[in-house]
Amino acid sequence: MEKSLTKEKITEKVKEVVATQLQVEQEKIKNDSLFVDDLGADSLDLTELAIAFEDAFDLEIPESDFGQLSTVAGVVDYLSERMK
Amino acid sequence: MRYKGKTVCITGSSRGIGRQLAIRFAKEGADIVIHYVRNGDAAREVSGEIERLGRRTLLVRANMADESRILSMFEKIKETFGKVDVFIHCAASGRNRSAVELDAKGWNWTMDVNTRAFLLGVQQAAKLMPDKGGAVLALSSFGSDHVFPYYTSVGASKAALESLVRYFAVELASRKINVNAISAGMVKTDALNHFPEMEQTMKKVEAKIPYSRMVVPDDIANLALFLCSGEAEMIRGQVIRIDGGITLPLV
Repeated sequence: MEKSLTKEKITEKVKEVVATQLQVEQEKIKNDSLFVDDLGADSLDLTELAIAFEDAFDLEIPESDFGQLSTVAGVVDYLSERMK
Repeated sequence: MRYKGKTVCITGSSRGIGRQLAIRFAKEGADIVIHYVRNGDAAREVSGEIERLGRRTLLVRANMADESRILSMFEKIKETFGKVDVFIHCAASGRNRSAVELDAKGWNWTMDVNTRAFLLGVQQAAKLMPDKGGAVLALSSFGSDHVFPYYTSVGASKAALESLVRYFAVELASRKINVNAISAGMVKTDALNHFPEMEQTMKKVEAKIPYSRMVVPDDIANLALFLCSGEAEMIRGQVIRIDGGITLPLV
């Protein structure tokens, strides 16, 4: 697990993952963008997003946790907490 | 113990049918590669249960839609066990939509997880199978040759999977690797919860099934233990139905 990442680095990486998975331009992804309502994610996108975050940050995100995360900022906070 | 000293790799073995296969093969003496992607806690529970039986396990998290992850799963198996005697592709996913609504993304995802992962998995597993042979099993379903609501992508992926089983069975026979598929009817697992209107569909299935109960994971395990053993050596490239007869009546 990468423990040395700053919150800025995590945010950048999360946005990269979201841009790739949801095929949206990275500039259009804001910290409070909602995956479903703003970025158009459906259930398959969310599954792929979860897997992509897990791969990118080398940790497991249980379904019960991921279900609570609906924005970039939410994921960043969650990951920062997990990587402390 | 029919599988003492054997290494059995089962994709999608944190839950449902795969989980039960893992436990049943372990009870027959096998060491088990437990594969999962989104259910680490469930996979670790299965691993604990198997290790309490005195067997070894290797837990591997891998996205079956990602070729590089499949390859690295087999690298880990090689490092840990040095061989695979049985490879079972149980991992499955799907875009649960009608045919007219199915999108390209959902199609690709389903084909990658259900079918391409089997193609790539068998290619790798065969390299790790001993000279005296091995077995491969694919988990198919009655949706491959029958129509089931919202099952389009999975049904088509399973039809292609069954075709791959026949090709591999012929190509790998000279290496004493036996390849077959089990086509299950509706099996009572949590996977059913992903389908829309499942309660009504389940009632219809229960009303139509000639035998008086639904298929359960242990029914699949009973057949899997036989098909992957030497006793089944003359059954090759076949798709065996285990569905309580549900696919037989026309009305």
